[in-house]
Amino acid sequence: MGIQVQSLGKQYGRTWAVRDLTFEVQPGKVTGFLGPNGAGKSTTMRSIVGLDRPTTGTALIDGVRYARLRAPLREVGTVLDARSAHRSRRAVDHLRTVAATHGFPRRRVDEVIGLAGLESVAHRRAGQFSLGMGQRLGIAVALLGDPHTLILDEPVNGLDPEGVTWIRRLLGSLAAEGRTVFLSSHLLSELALVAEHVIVIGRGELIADSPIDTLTADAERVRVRTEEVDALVRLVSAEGVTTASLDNGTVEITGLPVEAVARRAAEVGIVLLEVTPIHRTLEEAYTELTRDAVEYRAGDADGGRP
Amino acid sequence: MSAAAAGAARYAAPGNGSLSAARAVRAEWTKFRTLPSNLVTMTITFVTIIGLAGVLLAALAGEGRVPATTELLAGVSWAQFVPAVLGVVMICSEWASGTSKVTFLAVPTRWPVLAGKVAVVGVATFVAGAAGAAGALVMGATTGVDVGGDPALVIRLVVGTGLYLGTIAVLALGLGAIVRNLVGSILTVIGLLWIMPFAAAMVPVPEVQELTLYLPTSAGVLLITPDNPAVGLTPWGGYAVLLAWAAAALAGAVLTLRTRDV
Repeated sequence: MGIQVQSLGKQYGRTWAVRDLTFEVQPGKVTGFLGPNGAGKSTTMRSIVGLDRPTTGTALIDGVRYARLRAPLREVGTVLDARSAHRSRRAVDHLRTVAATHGFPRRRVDEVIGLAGLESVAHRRAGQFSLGMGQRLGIAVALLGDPHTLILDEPVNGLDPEGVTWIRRLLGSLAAEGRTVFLSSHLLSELALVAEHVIVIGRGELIADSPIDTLTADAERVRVRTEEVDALVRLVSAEGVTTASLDNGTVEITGLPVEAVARRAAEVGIVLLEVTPIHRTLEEAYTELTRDAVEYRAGDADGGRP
Repeated sequence: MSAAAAGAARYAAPGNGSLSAARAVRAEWTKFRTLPSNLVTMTITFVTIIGLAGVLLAALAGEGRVPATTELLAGVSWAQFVPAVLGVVMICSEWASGTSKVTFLAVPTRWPVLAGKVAVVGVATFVAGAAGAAGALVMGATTGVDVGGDPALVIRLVVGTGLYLGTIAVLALGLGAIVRNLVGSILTVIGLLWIMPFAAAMVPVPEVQELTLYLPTSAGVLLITPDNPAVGLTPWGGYAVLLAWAAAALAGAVLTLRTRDV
């Protein structure tokens, strides 16, 4: 169940937008898809839903290729673009054209208009919509078939703060019902609010695939000031623990929780004058993870599709 | 909000609807009728045919002459620009407006979308063209043209105008699906339908001039001109050539839709 991406690769001309990408998106939680602009997020999502044909590998939804689904809109709801309706068509008519492909009743169109909070603008032409209203309309389309899987490309883009709260709650409750929710963003701060799990890509390749907490948890750092720096460093120097001495008797210890540092020091009688846990923020973790990717891309003029 | 949203989403009833080619065709009809510009386009086609017949009648009346029945439809060659552009716009606007993703997410098999557009633009243009031709002939009959003399010809002209314009629109649709870019598609269509016949006629090689007859507009328009044994094609033979062009364009369109990324 969920989304399975296996050795996915997509080449445009001579450039690989995505290369040998393998990951799974589990149902029942919100999974973020994170990467700098141009990392290959949209290409990956377009390949999952069959708009792009992968050069290598496969992408399956609940074990089936998208193009093979009998009723795709009842399985997968997709938002790829905030501007996806014809400017001259009324929002309600846009929804009706989509509903008609699957024979969904008109009542369902009215329901998703309500779900997306578009009641007051449903009879306006889509060309008059703001970016945020366009996103809501896209989400209404995605919800039409009451799908088990939701795939959203930068859905927060253009939403006002109220809209951000709304989408966060909506996606959270959809995931809580056991659905698969997969959304991309180039901003970690957006994802941190809604996603439990995060898949990070850069330059079209997988960088990280982990629960969002562990992105920060594995980087515990403690800054300690003591008169016995050398003794402390000898004490904690073990596998996986690194130390860096700073000025005036301060040392930074990476890889041990603050309690452990304090306890070990107390056991041997080292006096700690100052103990400061340093949390690497998610943003720092992300920046560190994608630094190489961004640097490479900056000098790579004919990069992949955004 | 969250509970309401979740509750409604769970309870909500998309019914047991599923995708079918027939529904995809229906959806294309919904698309067509929910864009006000399409009704305008059809009306322009209808009015152009009648209007140009009126202009002709007035002009010839000034010379004291009454046109032949088939001359009443001389305006079709001008009016055809409208359905041709409509055919192109119907497919290219999917990409230009951003709806292509939504369209092909709902119908990942893709070809039913094209089938739906063919049906909608073909039928709508047929109706506008046949109605326009009927209007032009009625106007001629009331101003002294001997329209009633040959009922078989009248039927061929009315049905033929609808078929000719409908098929031109479908041909343009197919070319639009292959080229995809709106401006590029319109230039391609203008090139094939209007420029090629003129250009080929200027080549002083008899073989090339003979081939000119088999170009879509030159062949298709025979359906609404008098049967002339001196021409190498009968009216319906000419229409068959136009149909073959449209079929070839659609085959290319299906292939393009299947193989090219959306």
